[in-house]
Amino acid sequence: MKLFKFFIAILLCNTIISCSSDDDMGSLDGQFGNLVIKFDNGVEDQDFIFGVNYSKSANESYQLETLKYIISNIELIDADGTTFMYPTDDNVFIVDEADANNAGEIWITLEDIPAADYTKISFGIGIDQERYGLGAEGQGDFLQTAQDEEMLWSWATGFRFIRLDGVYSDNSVTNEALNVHMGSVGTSLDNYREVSLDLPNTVLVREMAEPEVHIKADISLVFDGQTSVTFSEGYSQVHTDETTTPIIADNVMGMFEVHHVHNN
Amino acid sequence: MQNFKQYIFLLLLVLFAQIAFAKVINHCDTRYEKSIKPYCDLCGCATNNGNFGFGTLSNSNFIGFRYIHQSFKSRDGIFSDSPSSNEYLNTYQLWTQVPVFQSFYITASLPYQDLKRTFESGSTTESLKGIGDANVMGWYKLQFLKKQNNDSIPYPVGRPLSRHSIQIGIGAKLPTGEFEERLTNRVNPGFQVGTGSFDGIFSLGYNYGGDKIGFNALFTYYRKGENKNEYRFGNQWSYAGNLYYKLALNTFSLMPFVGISGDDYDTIKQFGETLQDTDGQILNGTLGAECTIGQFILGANASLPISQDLFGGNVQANERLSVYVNFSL
Repeated sequence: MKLFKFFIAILLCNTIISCSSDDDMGSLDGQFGNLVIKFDNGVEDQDFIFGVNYSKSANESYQLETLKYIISNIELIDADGTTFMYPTDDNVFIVDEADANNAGEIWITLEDIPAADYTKISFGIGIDQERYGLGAEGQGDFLQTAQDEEMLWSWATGFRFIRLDGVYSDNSVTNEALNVHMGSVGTSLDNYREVSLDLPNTVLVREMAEPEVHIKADISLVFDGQTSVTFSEGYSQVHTDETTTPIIADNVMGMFEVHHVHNN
Repeated sequence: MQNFKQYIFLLLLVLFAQIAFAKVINHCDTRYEKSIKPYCDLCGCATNNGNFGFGTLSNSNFIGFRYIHQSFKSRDGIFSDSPSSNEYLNTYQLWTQVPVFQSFYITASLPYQDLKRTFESGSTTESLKGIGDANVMGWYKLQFLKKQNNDSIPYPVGRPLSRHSIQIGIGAKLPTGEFEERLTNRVNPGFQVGTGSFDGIFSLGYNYGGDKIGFNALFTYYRKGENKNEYRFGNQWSYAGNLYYKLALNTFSLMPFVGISGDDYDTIKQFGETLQDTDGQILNGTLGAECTIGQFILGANASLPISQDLFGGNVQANERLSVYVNFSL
């Protein structure tokens, strides 16, 4: 009986003195951490894979061999509403499916972010007029990167914000060329779009932690988003047209969602 | 024999007390160091053995060895066609049920986990080995007595025992296994040797033991604690019911049984926030047998899921096997 009492006493002690969370006690001021943003391209609930045939509206189907887009102006908003814009010079990225890892994810690592509890993320698709206004010189290394990735027409025309190359088929044609190259056209047509997404869980950026934001991009929404477009009716070749490009831009704006976050 | 029992009990007591204290000290280390990840759990789902039961079918006192094999299939990505991985969880467990005094006994188990994971996409294999989470419970057994028959002469020794009994258990799951935070980023957060948390366990059981047929039912609630990484596995309800048949032969007795068991998990919380798609439930059907030869109790059973919905459908439980060899005390 004495033994038993002793045993229960041990259990009780354990319960009482087991302490819970004890980090986060200090101030976050002056702390910086990294954040990984993973882009994961899919088609509806399927993973996107090059060369696979995906069907869309109007009995059309498509398969792609190029899929890339420009993400810029990533901004984080914390629980208090304070915003943090990643430094402009480094705040432009090309998300290229060809660069995806084994899991099909393209990672962007943001460094030296002020430690905070972030609840929202926003970013732009493409290049805004302000950045374009910096001129070719003002683009830094990104100009060369964009050229190498074939995401630039010419300086006067500007950047391609999204680039899809492949073929499409419908009831009457098979494997016709499909090239959707949407961007702003110089300063005359502005197709830059911004999205703001709520994070399903708070992202805790800390010096000792590297949280991850997993963003799912549903490529089917490029064609069947806000507006459903038909390849055979002018959307198999989208380049600098002032009617078709804004529609694609609006569709692309709606294709992102934060699937989940990981706090490490 | 009495001395032997006390000896074993003392031994276990010291062992578990040491483990508990060692971990408490570790747990209260206020420095938050990511490089050290001394934590573990039972995600209810994988590293937990709740509905395998705490004791044997015949509810006898013993010390023994149990092997549990479980297999899961987890989706390794966010799409419906994302590649999956197979997880094989092998648990080697020392377990015991020791009487303390009349109507009161203690069950305890200390597992060694050997977990393996293979990826469909490639030939990579991950493995994780180590001491898992120990489990200690105190039980009070309420043995009902037969109804007094007014016509009969009262027995001087008291009323005979009825076939019904109830047992109530309270205990804890100790964070003796290591919890690795990085592993929670995978789709099956239960791929862990331990949960890193100190959990409360509350059980209520009912037994009926007839001459030929018997029935056991057990309801258990796991109140999960938060681990050092502010990760809290979902509270869990487990239930199990087994119907057995006693076959007494000359030199041994055999008890085949059929049963169902299930678990219901609440969502996982991290940093005080609920993580999506981390709740679920599973119902298993079990077939097995227990055999008593002299002082030895041998048991084996196999379970298959009847219905399940774990982690938003991202984790699929497959078969479970359990084999044990016990020495009666």
